[in-house]
Amino acid sequence: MEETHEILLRVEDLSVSFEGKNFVQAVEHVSLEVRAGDRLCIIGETGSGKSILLLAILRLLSPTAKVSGKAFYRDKDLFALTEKQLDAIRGSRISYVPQGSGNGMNPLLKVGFQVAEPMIAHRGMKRKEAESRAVELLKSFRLDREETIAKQYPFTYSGGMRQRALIAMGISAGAEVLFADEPTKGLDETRVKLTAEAFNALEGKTLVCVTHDLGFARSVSSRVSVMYAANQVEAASTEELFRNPLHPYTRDMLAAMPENGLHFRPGYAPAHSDAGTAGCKYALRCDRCSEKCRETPPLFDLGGHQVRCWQYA
Amino acid sequence: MTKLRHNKAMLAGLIIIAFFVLVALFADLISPYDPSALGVAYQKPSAEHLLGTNDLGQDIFSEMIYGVRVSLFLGIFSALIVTFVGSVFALIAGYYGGAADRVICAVTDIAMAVPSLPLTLLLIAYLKSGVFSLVLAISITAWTGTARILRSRVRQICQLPYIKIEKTLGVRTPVILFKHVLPNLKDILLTRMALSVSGAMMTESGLSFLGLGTYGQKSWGNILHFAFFRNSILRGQVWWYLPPIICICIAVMGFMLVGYYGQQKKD
Amino acid sequence: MLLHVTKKVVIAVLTIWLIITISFTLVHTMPGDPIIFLIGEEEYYYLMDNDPAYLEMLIEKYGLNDDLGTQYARYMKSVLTLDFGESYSNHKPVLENFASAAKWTLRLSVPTLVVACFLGAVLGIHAGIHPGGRFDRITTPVFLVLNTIPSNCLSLLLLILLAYKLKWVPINGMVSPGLEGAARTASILRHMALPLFILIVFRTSGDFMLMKSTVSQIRSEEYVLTARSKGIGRRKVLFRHVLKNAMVPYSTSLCMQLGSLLSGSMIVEVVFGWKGMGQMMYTAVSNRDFATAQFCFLLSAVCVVLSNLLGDIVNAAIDPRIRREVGTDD
Repeated sequence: MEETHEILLRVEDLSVSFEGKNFVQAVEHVSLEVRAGDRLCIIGETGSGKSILLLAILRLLSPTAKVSGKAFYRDKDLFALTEKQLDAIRGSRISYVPQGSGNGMNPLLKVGFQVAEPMIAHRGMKRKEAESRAVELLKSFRLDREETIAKQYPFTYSGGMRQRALIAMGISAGAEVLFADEPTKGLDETRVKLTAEAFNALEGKTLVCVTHDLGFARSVSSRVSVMYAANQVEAASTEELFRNPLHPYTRDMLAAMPENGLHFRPGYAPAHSDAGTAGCKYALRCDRCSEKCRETPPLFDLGGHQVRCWQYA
Repeated sequence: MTKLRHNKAMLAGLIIIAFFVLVALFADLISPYDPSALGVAYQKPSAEHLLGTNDLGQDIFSEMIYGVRVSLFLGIFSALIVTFVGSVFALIAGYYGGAADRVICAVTDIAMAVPSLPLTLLLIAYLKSGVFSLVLAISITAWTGTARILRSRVRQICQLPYIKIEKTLGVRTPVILFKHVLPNLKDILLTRMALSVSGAMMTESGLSFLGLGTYGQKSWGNILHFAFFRNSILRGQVWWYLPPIICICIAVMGFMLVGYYGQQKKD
Repeated sequence: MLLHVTKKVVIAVLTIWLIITISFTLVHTMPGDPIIFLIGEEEYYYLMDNDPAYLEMLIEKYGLNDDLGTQYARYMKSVLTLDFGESYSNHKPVLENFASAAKWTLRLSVPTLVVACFLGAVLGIHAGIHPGGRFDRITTPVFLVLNTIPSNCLSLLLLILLAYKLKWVPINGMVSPGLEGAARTASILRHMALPLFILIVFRTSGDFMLMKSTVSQIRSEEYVLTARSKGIGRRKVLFRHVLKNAMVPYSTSLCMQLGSLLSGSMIVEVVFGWKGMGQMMYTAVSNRDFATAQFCFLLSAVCVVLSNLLGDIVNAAIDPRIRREVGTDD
């Protein structure tokens, strides 16, 4: 398994914008490669466009979103498939795991059935069979009293329980790539640990996880990609990034972590509507900013460690 | 873009309302005749009688002008009562909470379950007919919607930190209510009131059309009642039955636009 | 669930009791001698002038000299035993008049409910699933306008256009005289076409607005996104996830509409000379036939309460959150 470095997911130059009364550039020219077995965390602050990126790849955004660029799953061009062909991939090859603290489960259907639903759709299982599989799955995620809990409705679950049930739902039909959207949002430390544990226990799965929780990212990922204001600013292996952060934003972000002394750099990300204008997006807050930063820096590759900053030109 | 459309719709509503209010205020100046003066019956429209005359020879155009007053007055007066009763209940329930809140909610729930039109009619049957009875009959069930919506809003406002602080500081209740809570309710009160006016005007026009409204007072519904029951349709007297229909529809629509789109703006 | 339903039933019973009490109180608090409300104004003044002894006997007979408590108990008893007295316009028991009026009202209200509930739902779903789309942009303003036109205005306009000008349908009444069998049925159908059409238009516009706003709100819920991400297909997403949730408010509203089946639409019935329940109450109120008017009020009030109760039960059956929501305060 360690030796299979086959590329499962390739995103090329993906941009997403929302037209309308206020124009929003949510994702700008993002490229990614995810290999089998990778555990990629996309880190960024709220509003940096990371969740939109996941939804855009699975074409789950509303029709008002304008998506450009390309996305491939293995050899399939996701943006060229018909809706039906894409449905054969959604949930069965790539699955999306929404936030547990949100409203990600249908409030009127039992959790067991919702976990079983992808199996019925993709594995041709009968409802009974799929539901008993769902109970086993829930069990493996340390949800106590699994048999009874599968017959419960989502509103009786806590945020952490829902998150684990949603992960179970994500892998139930055997998807090899999991997209997780802010799995730790609204959870306390203990629940974050349980969730991290649940992700780490997944075997043979490829994970693309969007989060703003650096500690969580460190504990579940093998690679990290940092996003700032709709742009990818840095990407490296988790170990490398936490040891040797290159981009000023990443450095500032790490410095702001409690264990590093809570050093906070004031300022805000530029407005979404300003996106698309030239120049480094972090220039306004950066203490090493120079004349050069009026031009948009490319993504420099320093031996597998990519960074979008003129310092490394 | 949608915002602009909402504003346009609201503006249209406001223009309609302003127009009718002006007509009502200057009815004496505009109308060429006394609407109750008798004359030659069933005249066709002419330069003298713009919309002809009715079965008693009264000038229909003048009737229509004065009808604005009656219809508008009934609508606005009922809406004032509805809004007042609704907001008093809402303030008490939302501000004090607890037992007061539970009692008022229970009363509202039950009042909502009582069907409004039959109760209105039953009251009309029992009461001596007159403006006051009509207003009472219209308002008696209509306050519930306003009360319910306002209550939850008042509750929200009273949960705000600065109100809580004022409460603990011992600021007197009326001061809190009038200085902080009511100003926050201004917009929602106005939109609810506009909706209440359109609702009341609809009820009034229906009741008067059936001849169960005010006797002697000529509202549009009342004019339509005589037009219909004196067979104006059969006689093809378009100038008699059409103006009240059009006026009722436009006036109701005007208040509805302000209320509906005013509410949407908030959301 | 059981607790929830029990609570709702108790509230419904209390409401019905309250309604009966209101109608009793009305008789005794209104200005004028209560006997007027029992025998009618004309009879009252006639007897007062010509036969005061008989009037006194009547007052005694109806027990109006008893104290209020006794009278209240007797009133309760008569209502509970379905004794509503007799109408003094035709001196038949009120219940007998009711049976014939109800038949005619149901002929209009049942088809209205069925057609409008289906039509409103289908159109509402289409408009709500793509809010701002072409279908939505056309249908919503149309139904919004229909929703605000007072029913007397629309009824008259259509009556003028379709019956007087185009002569497609009869102007008034329910059936042409002297017909038998199939010809009679056909005549009834022709007579009911226009009032039925108007009622359907109104009901559909209400149902449409409700369904549209519900669906357009639910489609942007996160769980619909989850459902789509599972690749279960558009139809399953729509039916199992969007519509199942949309049915909660819609079915409640349908249940509540059941309550109006028997009361009928007064204005439409009056305009078209349809001798149903609406017309019956209208005539009763304009003739001050208090026994009938009171019966109509009680009947429609009880129907509304019962249908609200049904709505609550159906709601709880669909939505597990409501079943649990007993005794919670915010």
